Amino acid sequence: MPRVTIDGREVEVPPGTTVLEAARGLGKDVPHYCWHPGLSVAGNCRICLVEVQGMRGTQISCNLPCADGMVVQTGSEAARRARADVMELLLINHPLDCPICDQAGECKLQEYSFELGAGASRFDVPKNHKRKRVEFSDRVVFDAERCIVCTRCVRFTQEITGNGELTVVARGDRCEIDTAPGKTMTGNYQMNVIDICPVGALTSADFRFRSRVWFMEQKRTVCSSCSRGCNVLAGTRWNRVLRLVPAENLHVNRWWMCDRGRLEIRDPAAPDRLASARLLRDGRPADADAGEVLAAVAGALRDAKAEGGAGLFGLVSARLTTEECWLARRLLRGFAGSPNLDWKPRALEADGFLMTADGNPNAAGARAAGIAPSAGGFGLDGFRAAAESGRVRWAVLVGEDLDDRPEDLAVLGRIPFVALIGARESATAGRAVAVLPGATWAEKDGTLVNGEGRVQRVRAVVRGPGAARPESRILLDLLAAVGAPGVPAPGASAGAVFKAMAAEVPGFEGMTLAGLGDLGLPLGSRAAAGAKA
Amino acid sequence: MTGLPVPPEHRVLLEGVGVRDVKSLAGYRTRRGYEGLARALKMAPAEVTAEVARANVRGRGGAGFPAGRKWGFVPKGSGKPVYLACNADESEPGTFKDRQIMELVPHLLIEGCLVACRAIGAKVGYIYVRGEYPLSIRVLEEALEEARAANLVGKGILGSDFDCDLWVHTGAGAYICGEETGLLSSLEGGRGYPRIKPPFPAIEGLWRCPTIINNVETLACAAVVLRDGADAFLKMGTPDTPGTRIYGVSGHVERPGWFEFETSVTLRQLIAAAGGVWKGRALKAVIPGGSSVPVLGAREIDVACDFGSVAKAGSLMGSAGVIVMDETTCMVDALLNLMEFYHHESCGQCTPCREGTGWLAKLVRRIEEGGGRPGDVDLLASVAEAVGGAAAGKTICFLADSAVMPTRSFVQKFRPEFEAHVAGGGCPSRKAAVHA
Amino acid sequence: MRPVNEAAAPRNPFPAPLGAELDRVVARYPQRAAAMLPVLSRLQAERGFLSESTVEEVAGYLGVPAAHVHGVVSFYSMYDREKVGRHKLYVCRTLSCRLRGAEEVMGALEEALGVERGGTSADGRVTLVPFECLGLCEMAPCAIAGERRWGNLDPAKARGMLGDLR
Repeated sequence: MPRVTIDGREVEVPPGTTVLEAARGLGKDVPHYCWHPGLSVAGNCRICLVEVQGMRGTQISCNLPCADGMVVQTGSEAARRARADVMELLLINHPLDCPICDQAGECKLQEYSFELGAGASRFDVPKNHKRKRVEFSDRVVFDAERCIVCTRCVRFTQEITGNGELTVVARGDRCEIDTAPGKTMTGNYQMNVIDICPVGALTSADFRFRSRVWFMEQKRTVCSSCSRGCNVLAGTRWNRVLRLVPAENLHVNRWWMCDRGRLEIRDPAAPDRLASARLLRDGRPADADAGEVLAAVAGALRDAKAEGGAGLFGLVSARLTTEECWLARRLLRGFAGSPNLDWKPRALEADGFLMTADGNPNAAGARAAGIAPSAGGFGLDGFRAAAESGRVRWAVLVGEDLDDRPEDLAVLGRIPFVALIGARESATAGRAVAVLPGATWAEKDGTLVNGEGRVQRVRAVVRGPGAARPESRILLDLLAAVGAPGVPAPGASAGAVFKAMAAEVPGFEGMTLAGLGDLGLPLGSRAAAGAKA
Repeated sequence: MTGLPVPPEHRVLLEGVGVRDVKSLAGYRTRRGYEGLARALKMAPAEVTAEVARANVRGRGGAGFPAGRKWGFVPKGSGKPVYLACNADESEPGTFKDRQIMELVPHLLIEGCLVACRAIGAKVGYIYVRGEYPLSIRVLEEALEEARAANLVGKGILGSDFDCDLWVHTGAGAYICGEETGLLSSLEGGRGYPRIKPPFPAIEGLWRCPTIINNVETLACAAVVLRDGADAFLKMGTPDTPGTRIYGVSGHVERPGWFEFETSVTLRQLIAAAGGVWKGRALKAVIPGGSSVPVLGAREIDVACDFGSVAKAGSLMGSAGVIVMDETTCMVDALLNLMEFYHHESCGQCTPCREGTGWLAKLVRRIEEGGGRPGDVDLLASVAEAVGGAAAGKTICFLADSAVMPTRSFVQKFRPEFEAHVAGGGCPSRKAAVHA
Repeated sequence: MRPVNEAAAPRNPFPAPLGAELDRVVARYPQRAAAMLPVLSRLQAERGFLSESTVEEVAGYLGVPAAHVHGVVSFYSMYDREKVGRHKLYVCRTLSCRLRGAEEVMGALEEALGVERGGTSADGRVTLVPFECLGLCEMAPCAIAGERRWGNLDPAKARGMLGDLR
């Protein structure tokens, strides 16, 4: 294994490691544009120049394999000067329209310019002008003047999606990125090129001009649109998620996410959100005090328990966090004794890349938490028959509705007590006796287990409207109301709720919420640690 | 065809041209054509390489890299097919030597390709001919037909176990495809983008297989070496660059043309062979090796035209395209012409060349046309240094250097002329023309 | 994770005998895409220029994305994406020709054809294209149109050359 010295620090690296990679391993980020860990090496931006002892001039570090004994200076006078020269040349034809460019604030031209640049330009001949605001699709907008032709986007379409739908046209300083004549970008992964564009050449039609990035708070969380669990950075402002961009997780989505997941973000203040508790009075839904509704639901659960629980059906969403699924089981089975628990499947057409056939983000968590019919009980498929035969007297839907199953929806009318805890208005909610306003994935802290069994943190990035609260809070309140023993108190922290869940749900032994970090952990991976504890 | 050749008896590569038919296969055989191939087939491939290496055949595309040493880079036992690519993309301004071989003695090139393929173990070779040479393309394809019919190309060549196919591959107008790896990218069906190294073509070239790229004239020399032996080749020219070269002399001379000489010929002698500076004028400047090399002044022409001597004199022998400029030449206009060439031909991949060639052209245009500002000449020199080129490690290939070297040398050697343009509001000759 | 798309099987949309000729060219290479330039050049010779539909046909024929072909066509100076005149007259502008009067030759041609350099004469006969070094420096100033070449041009000879281009 070659040993190299970078800026005075020696390190041993696997054969084939480039100088740039070795430097990153030491925590030193050599400036770069065209290099990307998920794409082939292009070596065209020339900004990652370093000085190597014994080699003439400077070298690009992204393509230079570490050789044993190599001595590298990333910040020597020669390296800095060479990089400053490249920086100058990058800017001479650049339109410098930062004031109207979405990339401002997260632009590598700005950042490295600040670090390396001259501060004043000596370019006083006419700049090249190119196309601005080209619609590569209804999602991706291209500005050829801002483009530095790093070809990350082209390589993405060649190497990641494989459709090769972007290319470079013309020659020299007339080069531009383009699609085939008359064609737009296609498929479910177009918007990744926006993320990887280091400048404002490729921008999002969806996010265009919506907010300056420095006004947004950006928090790491997990997408909930399918069971992949792509790690994302949610950018919020005015209590709205304005955009999602992928966050790197080599175990899950690497650097990518799909457009569908990216665009399925909704306004917490949208009119279809449930914002207050409701009770059916005189056959009509009416806003009510949350305490009153909680008490009504608690009372119904006590009644169900008194009859042994077999008449209670619990539909617990696989979109909820694992903690919420567990709390729901503790309430509906643990306390009320129902053998009839289930979650509703959501089928998607897997696209062979990130989007899975399972449209629920936490089916694995729901299963682990025990959301399934137990002996003698029925699940969602048996619900209709059971309801029609009059066996179901109570139904509690947590984070789920039956609007897409019209025959199941129809039999709700036969059930005397239907409670719905959920985020959105629906026909189902319209038939519920008691409604408690819940939260979306963007409003809660907890864990989701993806389709490959990885436990990942989802974080609250916005607040729900009105009286809406995460289902976990509502369930803790209900558990307290019914006096269920051995569960965290209503004010418990997310970490405490996780800890309590981890003690009971298989696969979570030895884990803590904080310990999941940014990358998550596979189910069962801390079992040994848990056993020792 | 213009240009008086040097007495035919001094010619090796272009022996017989203009005297008798050496273009057809039968004609080529009258100059012991394909004897080199026959000899190579009786040798082990490594011996063929050794012979060419011993003869120190310097690459005649421009870089002067020893061909035998390059052939030795092909890894043994990689399990991958080996390819030969003949660089017939001759596009260096002032260069027209390979065209002579292809149009007048095509079989010399074919034999050279076969010798190279034999040495490196290639079963297929592609002759990448620039699209602007339709006559060369046609003549080569006809010659290849003759060769195939005569069992010189194809399966079991001359009854041996050596199979080799050769194909003409046509370019479509891009100077950068004359760069080795730009040629490979183009040949694979893409934009002519030079490649970052590693990997090196001898290890991973065409379709990630070992590939040797050689210039037309280099391969022609290889055929001659195998025909006559390395010792005979070494007797000609200088030890630095053995053999002969086909020198092209153009510009302000009485009789522009090609001249095959031993490499010991001096620039002064070449200019004289072309009839000297035309119209009785005085020499002002000469570019010795195609436009991409530093310019030499009138007092610097007593230099042997081999790689080492010209390098020592501060320029490069390059592609042996000698461009002569007389005393009436506006050096700023000449530089502008070249900067516009490189600006037009830059592939656009890497930042310094893509943006820098444009800036250089715009600056020189401003100086030439009268918009020159005080400090412009220093700025021009400074921008050239910022662009740097591959020699400084700043670009992927040497096109940037090809723009930088002329800029640097023109400003260095003709600075007063540039300053006068700036001070005087433009080119004195243009203004004179306007006022005439 | 695999890329989401797979290349469709290549298909030859070109009528005989052109289609067979192109197939023979493709067969010279271990990968179809390498036939790109010879195929494009042949199609341009046949059709006059490379239209959007030709680009798509070639993409399908060689098994590469249409965008790739688009990028290739735009890279090379000899490829035209729009109709040009019957004769494409390449007139060299580079140093050796310029030193011997190429600019005056170009000026004379512009005047005689009534176009600016780069343009096509009104009768569609000649497209006047300034070109980089054509490698005919021994006969500078020079011009080519297809396989024909003219050298040692001056304004008068240049006008005469136009007479050869019917």
